[in-house]
Amino acid sequence: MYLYSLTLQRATGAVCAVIGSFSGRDSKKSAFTQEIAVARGSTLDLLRPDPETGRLRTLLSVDVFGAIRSLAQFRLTGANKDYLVVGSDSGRLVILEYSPDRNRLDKVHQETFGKSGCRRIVPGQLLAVDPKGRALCIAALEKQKLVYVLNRDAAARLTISSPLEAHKSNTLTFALAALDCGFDNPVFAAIELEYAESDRDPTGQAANQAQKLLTFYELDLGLNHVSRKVSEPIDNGANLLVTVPGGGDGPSGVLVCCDNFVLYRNQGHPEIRAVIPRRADLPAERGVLIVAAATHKQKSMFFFLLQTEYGDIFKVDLDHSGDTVSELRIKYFDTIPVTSAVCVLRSGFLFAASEFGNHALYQFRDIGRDADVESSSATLMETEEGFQPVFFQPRALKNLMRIDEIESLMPVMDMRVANLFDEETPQLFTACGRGPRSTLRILRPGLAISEMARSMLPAEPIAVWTVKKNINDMFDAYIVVSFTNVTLVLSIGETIEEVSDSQFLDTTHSLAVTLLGEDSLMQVHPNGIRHIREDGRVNEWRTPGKKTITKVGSNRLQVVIALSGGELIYFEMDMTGQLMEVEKQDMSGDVACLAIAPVPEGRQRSRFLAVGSYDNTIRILSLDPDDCLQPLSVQSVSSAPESLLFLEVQASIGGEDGADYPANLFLNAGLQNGVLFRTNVDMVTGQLSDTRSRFLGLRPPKLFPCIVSHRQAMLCLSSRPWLGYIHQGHFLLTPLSCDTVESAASFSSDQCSEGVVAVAGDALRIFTIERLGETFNETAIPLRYTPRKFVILPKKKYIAVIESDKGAFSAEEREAAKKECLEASGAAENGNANNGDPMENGDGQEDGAEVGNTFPDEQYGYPKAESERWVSCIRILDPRSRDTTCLLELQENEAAVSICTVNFHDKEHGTLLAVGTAKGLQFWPRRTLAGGFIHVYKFVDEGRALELLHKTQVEEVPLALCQFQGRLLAGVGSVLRLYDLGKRKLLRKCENKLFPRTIVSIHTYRDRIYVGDMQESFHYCKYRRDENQLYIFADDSVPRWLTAAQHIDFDTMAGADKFGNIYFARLPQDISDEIEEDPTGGKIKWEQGKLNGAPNKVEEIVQFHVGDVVTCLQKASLIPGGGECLIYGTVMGSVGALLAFTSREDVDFFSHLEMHLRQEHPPLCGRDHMAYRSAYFPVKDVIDGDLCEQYPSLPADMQRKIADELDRTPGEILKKLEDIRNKII
Amino acid sequence: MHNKGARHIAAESRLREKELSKKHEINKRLALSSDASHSNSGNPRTGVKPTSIKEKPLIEETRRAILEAQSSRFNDFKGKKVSHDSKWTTTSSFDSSVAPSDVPMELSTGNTGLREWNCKGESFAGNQTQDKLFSDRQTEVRKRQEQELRFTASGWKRDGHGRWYRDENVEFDSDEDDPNVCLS
Repeated sequence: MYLYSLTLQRATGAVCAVIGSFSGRDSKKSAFTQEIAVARGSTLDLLRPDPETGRLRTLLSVDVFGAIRSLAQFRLTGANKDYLVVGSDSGRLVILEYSPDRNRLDKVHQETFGKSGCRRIVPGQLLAVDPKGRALCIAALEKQKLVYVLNRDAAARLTISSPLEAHKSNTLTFALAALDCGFDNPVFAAIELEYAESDRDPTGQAANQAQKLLTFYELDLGLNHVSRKVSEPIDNGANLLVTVPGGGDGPSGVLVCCDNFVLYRNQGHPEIRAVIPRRADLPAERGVLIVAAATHKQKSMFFFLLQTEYGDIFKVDLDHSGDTVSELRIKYFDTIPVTSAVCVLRSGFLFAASEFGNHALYQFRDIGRDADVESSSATLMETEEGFQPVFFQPRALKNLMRIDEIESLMPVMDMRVANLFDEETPQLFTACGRGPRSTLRILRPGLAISEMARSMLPAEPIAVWTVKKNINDMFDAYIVVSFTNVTLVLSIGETIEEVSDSQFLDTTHSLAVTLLGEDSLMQVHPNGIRHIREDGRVNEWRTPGKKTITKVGSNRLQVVIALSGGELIYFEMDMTGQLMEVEKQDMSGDVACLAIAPVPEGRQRSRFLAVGSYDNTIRILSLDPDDCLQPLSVQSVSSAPESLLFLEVQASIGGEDGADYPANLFLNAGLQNGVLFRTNVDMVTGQLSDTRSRFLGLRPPKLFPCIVSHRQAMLCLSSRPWLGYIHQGHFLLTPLSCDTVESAASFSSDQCSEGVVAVAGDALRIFTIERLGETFNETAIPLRYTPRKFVILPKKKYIAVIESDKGAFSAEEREAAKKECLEASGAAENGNANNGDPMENGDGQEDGAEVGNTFPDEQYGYPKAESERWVSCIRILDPRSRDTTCLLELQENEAAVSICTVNFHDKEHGTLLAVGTAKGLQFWPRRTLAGGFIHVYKFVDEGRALELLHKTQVEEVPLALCQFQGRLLAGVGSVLRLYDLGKRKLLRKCENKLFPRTIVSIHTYRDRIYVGDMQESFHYCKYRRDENQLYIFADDSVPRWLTAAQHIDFDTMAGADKFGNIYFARLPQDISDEIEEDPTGGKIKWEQGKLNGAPNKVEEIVQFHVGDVVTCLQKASLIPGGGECLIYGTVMGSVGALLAFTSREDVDFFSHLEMHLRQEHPPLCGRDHMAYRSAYFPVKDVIDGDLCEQYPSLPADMQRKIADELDRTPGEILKKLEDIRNKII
Repeated sequence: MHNKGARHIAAESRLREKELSKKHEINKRLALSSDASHSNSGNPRTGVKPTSIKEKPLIEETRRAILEAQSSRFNDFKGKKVSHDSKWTTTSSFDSSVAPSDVPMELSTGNTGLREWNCKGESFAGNQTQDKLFSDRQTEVRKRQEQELRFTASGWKRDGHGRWYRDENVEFDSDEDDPNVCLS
């Protein structure tokens, strides 16, 4: 089996983010533009906030085929652009430079220093750069620190020295920062812990007394040597260092963030300590840790924003005179969801890369100048019990205002692909997020649209156009709607209203309405052409005899009409603005459709006319005066064409969202069998080449031009609308997530610069297309706790979700506490009460809750309970109405861990829902539990609600449940057990205790049972009814920490392990046959085990390192009638697919392409591609489509070189890549 | 007096019995041996007998029975065929010719019905109803087997006497059916 791996949705979570001016000085404006570099596991994104729209735009997204662990930015003194330093698992230090004109990141330096992989003592995890850009330090978690000196050569190019070592063995490093010491020698500070003594001391006393140290390393630029200068003991809770500006701007030194405190430290400076304010409702046992920090520096002032693990942001100020700091103040700023990185932009924005859930862009409304809860080093009180804490109540946002959001699926906990909405393509249901930010997201392949207006029309229109009055106008002037026998003209202004003074003929239906020349309008109706000049004069051309116009093709200066009977008449606009008949031509039969290519820039006319005929051909005719209406080329197609459109692609030399490509002219044809046919037209000869076709839907696609991000694009209206557009240099054809549309036109007005006006049924709709370049658009339904698993209830198409969280209060307790709190405080404290934000944690039942709900939990997080408390619920959700029809909160510290639907054979109750729960589950200091249960619920109220039938206690956690032959199979700890439904509980009928660790997945097929063990991969079992026994007949010889499993076929299982690998395990055919042909059953019973396991071993036939923990696998098809592929979702919030190749030829082609790309285009962060995909097991029979899809981004000569080696043209390779992608999505 | 003593009588009858059984055995062997078939030339159907039967009579007999059982199952599934019926008659007559010779044959429960029917099967016309009866019995047997399987699957076991008892590792509902009652 050979598979093609393709990431459908790149990772959406964020590991780290830095801000810098990577594109340098903008040539148009003199200000520096700032970009945000975001590392998302193995992808590196460059985002830029648009100050006008307030939206974040992705400039570039690169797959680096390695794990990015740290990012830093620096600028050489006097330079005007920043470099990006990447610490990854490649064992190399990589410095990247962004080139805005080609929109790509270039590797400036790549220094190898160690082995690849995320290792303890190989640097890559911690990175710090001298604020003056003179040196950088890259450190490992243990022992190794390397310092590189950065400089520039005579040609002002960046140079990098060989590394200077600052290693210290038996030392752990927690954090690293560079001190700002102006132009003195660069100094790096690190929080370190020596463990040598603790390691040697068996009594554990030394370990208890271990002391963290703040160590300063100085790089002597003169001696070219790093010395460990000072090492001072520091609070043992220290976890983060923040550089304090120095060198004239501030006192230099570092802020040390500790458990509950922030300290200011510098060499030879006394420690300044201030306590971090605590939330009033925080249990005493919990500390407050800083998880993210950002510095904002202006000429006259600087401040820090520190975020705690609960999401509260504090502003930290230092009072200093010269190098002496007198006071450290911590002031409550605002509360936003917990981030993994915060970036403050100079333009007054704050980018919050959320730890889980959507990222956000905030705008500063204030910088916390108002009075608020504040703690200071000056007022710090030390009592007998320790330092006096300061309390505060979180309040609504005061200093920040959210203006944009970037969707993030991280983490995908569970996923199902199903077509619950009866749409053309199935939907992906993903359970995402964590705690109060959990959601169930419905992903649909396609682009999202946002509807701006919808108005009803008196009848069902057949076509719609928009026209400008003058070619230089910014916005459209009229919307013309044609009905079967009337034409309606609407003028676009403040409002859209009907007008009658437009000179358009309104007593008949229209065939085309366009702007002609500079400023005249043309309306083509069945009986003639009406040419409306700017001064109001109307010229009318009438059809000869009884003929009527059937089809029209036009551009700015040329018009071709087809009369009934197949006569073509060609008009051209002359110098005086008159429409003149130029040529006539009789076609052999009726014309099915017409199109004229747009007039090329600087030319008088376009040379090409395309004519589609009912004899399944498309002809290109010349419009040159010399050979007017003479055929240039003919293309036969599979079905009669219905609609034609020329799409001109202007030449691009890169730029912000384009790769290098030459100008091109494409002819698109919508055929009657629903296929979109696309071919390249030679701009000189008119020859057609490089044809591609794609099935779009059941209706013949109708093609309309439109404008998307200032470029020509195409709307194809089949049974659903599709958009063909160019994004980052690629032509993409993507469905739109909306209903069938009859006719459409581009729309531009004051309120909406790039929209689409469409008619569907008897409605006129105006919408814009959003988030270009994305594969899926999503709808989110909020949930209450972290979703663990869900099942789709097949008959009613409802979804049953189990959610659970540790260390939180249940909804009722929270409500009660809130009420109490409100009553106690009476009035508004901090001015925050009664601001009436509706509670957003999801269940419809709570919408009507009292007005006093001050804080949306999604933003503020749940109040923290004791860490051993569990809260959990079971929810039945109607995905169509997004309503929760039933929500059962589990009591007594129980947490739901597994769910399945089951039909017991006695059929008394029909389908039941089985939920496995664990009571009082603890993981620390060791895993304990008070008991496990399997709840059995029956559906009432037509499947909308649940009623507990009974509850069966089991001795371990039931992590896996599955229906099997009218009974319930449960994996209870390491025991596989078969249960039957009893009157008062589940009846244990049979069990097998021979599984090594813990059963985490069960799949069944016929009489086989495929059991996944938490540590030991798959076990294949068989149930024998005549003996009432479960036998393990085969297992895997490789230990695998299974995180997801999926049944592929009778002998094959697909699994994913926690190290980020996907593999397929298959039982060899002969063994499988042998087991199936065992009539007496003696063999299976008495066969001896091998390697302390089952007698037979499965083979791992596919190996692939995804580089991210796969949490769910599903076999499904994402396109109607397409082959099935294996879809997976990961912790970082990416969705990918593995498609099985059907021909050996394709395998050869793609493996060669992959091989060439590996050689010619090595990954950006320095990790070898082959080594990355083989990180744990050598990659086997999987071709990396993500690497293959980087082919179009190669320089043209490189593309040609690879294509030559493959005996193909670059076009053919692109077509192949497109084809295989279209097979998946 | 001695001769009329009880012990003597008993000994004499034992001897007679022994002789009789020996005679029976000889008769049986004769009947099955090739000589016996030749000597039994009065039987018009002997020629029909396959020669191989003469070699290993008991085994052949068993095989044939199995074959019959199998073909009857086939008959059951594929519907009735007249050609089959005619075949049946020949076999049945063959069987009836052999049956009196008291061949000890182990027949499974499933085959008992067949044997009985074979012995009874005389008329050609009655065969169809017989067939139906036979298939009914077959389904009955299968139903019983399925019932037994259901009980084993739900945790019942059988002891050496064929009695059902509950597996101690398995849980049961209080009102669960007892196979000892259900199946008796």
